[in-house]
Amino acid sequence: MSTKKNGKKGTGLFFLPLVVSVPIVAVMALGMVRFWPEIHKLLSIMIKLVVKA
Amino acid sequence: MNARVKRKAFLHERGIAWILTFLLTGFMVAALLSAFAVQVLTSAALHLQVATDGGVVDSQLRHIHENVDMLAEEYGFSAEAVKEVIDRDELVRVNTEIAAWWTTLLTEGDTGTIPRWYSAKLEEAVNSSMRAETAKIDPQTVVADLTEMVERTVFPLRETLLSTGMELVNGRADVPGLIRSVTKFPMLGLVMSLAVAGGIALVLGREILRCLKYYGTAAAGAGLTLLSAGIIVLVMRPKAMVAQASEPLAGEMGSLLGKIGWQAGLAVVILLAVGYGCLILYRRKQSNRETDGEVSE
Repeated sequence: MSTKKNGKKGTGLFFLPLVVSVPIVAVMALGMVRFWPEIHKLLSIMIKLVVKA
Repeated sequence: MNARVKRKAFLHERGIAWILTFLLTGFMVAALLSAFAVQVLTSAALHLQVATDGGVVDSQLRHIHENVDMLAEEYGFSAEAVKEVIDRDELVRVNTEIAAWWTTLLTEGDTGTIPRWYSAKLEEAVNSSMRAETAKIDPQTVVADLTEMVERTVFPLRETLLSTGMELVNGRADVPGLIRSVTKFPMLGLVMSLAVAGGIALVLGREILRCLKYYGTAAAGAGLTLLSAGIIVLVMRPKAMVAQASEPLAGEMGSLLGKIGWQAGLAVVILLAVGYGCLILYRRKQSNRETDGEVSE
């Protein structure tokens, strides 16, 4: 937590949730980007198979 | 020397607390995501809400009426007489029956009797409105085509394929048991979250003030993660993907996602409020302590 020159506390504390959420979101987003073509193909096949023409 | 040892222990303690905070965030997110998944899989009330949703029924009715007009032009029957038979109430009744069958299939693995739509009134309407001189085809074929079109609209999935698939899986695995296990995931996530929260309190010497910082971070972090997961789902545009295959199914999916989206949005707001509430409280108390001259983190 940062301390300003006037002795008041800074806003650094409010960015702490980003420290824990960014790695999880990054893994989810990277996973999506990396596997999106496969996921899209699989979903398309499943939809075509299950949905009536 | 003593100060160095103390500082080392302090850093060690904080390191463990941060690892546990990261775990707490993960368990909270997992518990919430699994709660939404369990709802989609097993909640009869949710499926009934989707099935009787005004927007879904209106879209189905519009789709059916457009097709009735097309078929009436092609086969030469009175579209108005048929439209009177296939009204809003009839669609709500059929949708409710299908939602009950669908939920039983998902929760108990019981394929039961596949719901079929049949209306004697439809047959009457077609027969009476198709005059011999205007009729281009056998009325029974028209009734069969109309029935199939209505069934395809109210239940766009291949129900025979689903029930056969479920029967095959049932023969190899205990589907109801498996689904019952899945429904325990949110509770398991909650228990793990509480255990990890307890772990943080133990590591920090049961000092509530210091715990607030880590609990607040985890709660707000879980809220931000859930929000990001929602944005990722929106970017995937699942409704547009389904709409390419079936417009009525996309309508039902949109309603389902909307209902889950509201709950997820509420969860995000609560998590962010609780999380940042804890952090604000921590900052205030910490400032008070520092003013009083106590040692702070």
